[in-house]
Amino acid sequence: MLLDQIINGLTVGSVYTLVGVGYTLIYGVLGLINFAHGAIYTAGAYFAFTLLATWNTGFTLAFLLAMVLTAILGMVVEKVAYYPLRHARLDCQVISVFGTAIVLENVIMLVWGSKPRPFPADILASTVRVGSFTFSMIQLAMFATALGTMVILYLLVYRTKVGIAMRACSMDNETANLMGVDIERLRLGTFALSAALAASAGTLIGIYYRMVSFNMGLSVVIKAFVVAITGGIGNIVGAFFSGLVLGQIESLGAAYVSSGYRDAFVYVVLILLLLFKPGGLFGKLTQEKV
Amino acid sequence: MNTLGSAKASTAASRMPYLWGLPLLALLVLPMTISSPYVLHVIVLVGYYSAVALSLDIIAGFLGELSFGHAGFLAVGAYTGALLTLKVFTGWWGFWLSLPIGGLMALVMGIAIGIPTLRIKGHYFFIVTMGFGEIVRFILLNWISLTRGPLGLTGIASPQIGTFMFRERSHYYYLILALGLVTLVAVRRLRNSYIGRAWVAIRENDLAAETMGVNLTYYKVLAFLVSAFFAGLAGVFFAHYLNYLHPNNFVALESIMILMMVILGGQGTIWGPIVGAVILVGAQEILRPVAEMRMLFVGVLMVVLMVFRPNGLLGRR
Repeated sequence: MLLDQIINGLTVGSVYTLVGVGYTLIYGVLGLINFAHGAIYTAGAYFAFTLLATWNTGFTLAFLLAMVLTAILGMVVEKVAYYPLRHARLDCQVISVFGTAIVLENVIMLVWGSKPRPFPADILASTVRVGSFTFSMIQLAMFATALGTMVILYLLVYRTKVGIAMRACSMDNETANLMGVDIERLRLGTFALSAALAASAGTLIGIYYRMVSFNMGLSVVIKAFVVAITGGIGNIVGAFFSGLVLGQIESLGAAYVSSGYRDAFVYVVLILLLLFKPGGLFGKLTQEKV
Repeated sequence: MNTLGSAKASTAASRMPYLWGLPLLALLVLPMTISSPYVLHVIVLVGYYSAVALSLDIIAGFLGELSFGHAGFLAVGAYTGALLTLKVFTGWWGFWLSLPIGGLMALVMGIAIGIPTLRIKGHYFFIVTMGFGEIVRFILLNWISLTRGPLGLTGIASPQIGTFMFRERSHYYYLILALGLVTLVAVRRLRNSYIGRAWVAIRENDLAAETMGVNLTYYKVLAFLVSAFFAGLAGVFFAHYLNYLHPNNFVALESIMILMMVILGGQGTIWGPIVGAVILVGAQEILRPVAEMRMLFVGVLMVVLMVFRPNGLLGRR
């Protein structure tokens, strides 16, 4: 029972990690809190759903194609809704981002309908036995994707030129630009990358719960925000661990405290955290960003 | 801000008091000219949302922090008022007693939110206020012995004065008109008082305001408290108007729509939130035949407005 809950927590936590890392990247580079991230995640799940259920592409192809399609969607969103407001006041940006989230969610609803759609049941349904524990393939896939993504991202951000540019932008946009960083390309690239991560998370969670619905994004976007904050904004390793911790809190809280409050735990964690440790568990407080 | 504009307007009004009398008279005879109960219902909703948006303007406009949890205050007021008239005050005076108590409960919650969010700004403020609003909803959904959770509260009595029952939509119209006017006058007076100036000073530069002797803690909590109180009053009205309450009346999207009204009209202006409420409620009703497109329209409006008119329709900031 306890172990089942912990495994559940790890699985769901892996997804929070994937969404949260994408979120933290956008926040770091653009200084923008992307509420539309949840809708992008939903779009990714629906792309994979269509590929799997209508086109019968098989898991791997659907997973990768959904990531590509969602990355393109992410770039379109950046160009249309966020780029024109890059110098605007913070509250204008936030309203625009919210508007984008509402638009995306409703377009998804118009295209795929407002009823939840079931994923084909047999994808990655086989189980693996390790000692006395039984995992399903999808659980393994979720954890492996999260771990793999974290390693790749870590290498990208800390070992490549693009990574240096990203970190420079998150410190100071203007100066990075003066140093020869093409800000607009970097913004687009970051958006594509984070959208692709969101799509992978959406696909996996869709298969895990065997269902997609147009409004599955809102609760996830809040969790992604909490993951990004707890991990310390821009901190990839921090986001990975805080995603897993959040998954545990939710899973154990739902099992042992009350399942009705499942989505409320995350807010309680967030409020306590902001009151007592506003820099995040793994981060330093960056006053000028706040 | 448009201090200049409002100063001009108020002197003009004090020189010619009938300028206020005419629209007021128009508002008083309005329900007599409308026979359709549906249209009257929409007008009552406009009044309700105007009062709510005005109350939010104290935080979003004067203090300059966007609160995404205003539906939480409405929910506290509405549920307090409804539960009191259902279980405690059953006489005709029940509504009139639970109205201020609902407001006071929301006020207590406003203090509870105001104190921890004092030091929080920007992005974090949005999320924390949204979190508070959602926590209220989760409590309402799960505290089944008190709120009946997802079943909702039914049979909430209509307000009464003696034996006179508020049955017609036009009766509710006068009630929300009175409530809206009280809110409007209070917000206006506050704004032109020392308190309002202190709020605006904090918005423009909190450090400078503190240096000039403005007590940040006091004025920020005061803003939350006043804002929550008026939202709570509107919430009690809402409960007794619908005679039915469900926790999903107060989802995060509701908070966002209210905030949208304030920003659409112009933060920190008096008439802005009302104009915003008229436009958004009106647009949603006009778009009812294409129900699926309604929210799409609202979303596009939000983005377009922020690109072309970031200060709102009446804002001059």
